[in-house]
Amino acid sequence: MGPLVDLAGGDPVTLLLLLLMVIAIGAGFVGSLVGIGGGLFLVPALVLVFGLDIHYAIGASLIAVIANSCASGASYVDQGLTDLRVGMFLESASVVGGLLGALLAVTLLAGQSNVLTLAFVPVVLIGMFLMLRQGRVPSDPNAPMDAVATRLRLEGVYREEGTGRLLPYRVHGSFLGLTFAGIAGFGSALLGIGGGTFNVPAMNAVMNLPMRIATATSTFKIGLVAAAGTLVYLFAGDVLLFVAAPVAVGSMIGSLLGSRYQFRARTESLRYIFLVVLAFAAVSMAARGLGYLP
Amino acid sequence: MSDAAAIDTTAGPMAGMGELNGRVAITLRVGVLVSALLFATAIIARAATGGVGLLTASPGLDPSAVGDAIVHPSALGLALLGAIVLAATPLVRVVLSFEFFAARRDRAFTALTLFVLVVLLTTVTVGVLR
Repeated sequence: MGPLVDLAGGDPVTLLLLLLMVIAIGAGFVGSLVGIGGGLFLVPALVLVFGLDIHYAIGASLIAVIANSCASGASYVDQGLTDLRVGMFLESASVVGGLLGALLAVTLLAGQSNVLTLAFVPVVLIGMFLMLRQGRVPSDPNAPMDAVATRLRLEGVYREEGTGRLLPYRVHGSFLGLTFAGIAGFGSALLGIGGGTFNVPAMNAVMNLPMRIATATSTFKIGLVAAAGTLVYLFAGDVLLFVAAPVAVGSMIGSLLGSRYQFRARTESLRYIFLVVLAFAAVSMAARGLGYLP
Repeated sequence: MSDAAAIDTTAGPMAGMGELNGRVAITLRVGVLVSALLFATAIIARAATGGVGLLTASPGLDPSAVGDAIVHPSALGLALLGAIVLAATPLVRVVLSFEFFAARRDRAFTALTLFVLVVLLTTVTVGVLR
């Protein structure tokens, strides 16, 4: 640690701030690259590496999720990859779930760090499962739209990868998609994750959105849910601002890099590395929640 | 060439959305830039002056704390403002979207964005009351 502290001008706190930023750059990059949201990596890192209480880890992670969403979201919107209408439709359920999740975290579960730490474990496992079986369900351009999608004109066009052709897509499964969005919003605010792990497969497989549009639209909408959660945490005084600040800046840098390389990088091999990291995080969080780790 | 440049947003299912895309992208960029500057200044100020520990919790979101952060800038106050600006950024784009859809008399999306704003306002109210 000595040389590292010297690098930070002899101040161990500044060194910790830099380490937080580096970890957040990694989480933001990974989150944006594979479309899963960096919180799934960030919360365990803050709890296990920095020894933070999970409430504070969640507060910092929510701010990182907003940073990630806004930074890479702007890029996706510019590229025409974000379907704003679908995003705003799903947000109506996500913000309700987000409000309930955040309130539960700062009221009934306030001081229940072990419960929240253990609650994180199945979420990581589900995230791993979804990552493992994540395949692209091809969007059917001729699929009939349901009544809600027709009323709200939830359809669009996108540029197909590889061929560069412009293809139409039409949404169906609106109510099921809305339900998934509400659940993802609840989990997001409760545990400080972005929720992309759940949003993207649901939007792709259930709502017939092309994978690129689903990933970009999910990135766009998770920021609003995280903002609702962050407000609750800020009012409760549950945000460590000098943890949140480097984490936010790092997430912005990481997500900008990730959104730039998302559709160029070979993510298959990376996916397995992330699965190993998440498996380690799940076991460690379980051990901590059960009191086997300090 | 970006996809947005090639996709027609003046007709068909994407009609009119190009303008909203532009507004939203600018809003997100400005929010990210301002909050990043505030956070970075806070980190540098903390490194220069010391004194604020890593485990210093936010002072809460009461108006006096926010006013104090603006009138008497400190490392902690700048970080608080950064968090507020960042959290407000997605809310601002919802307000812009509401205005956009209301101006076009798109009743369904005006209602949807209004509903989202009401839920967010409820969040703030609940936070204040707690």
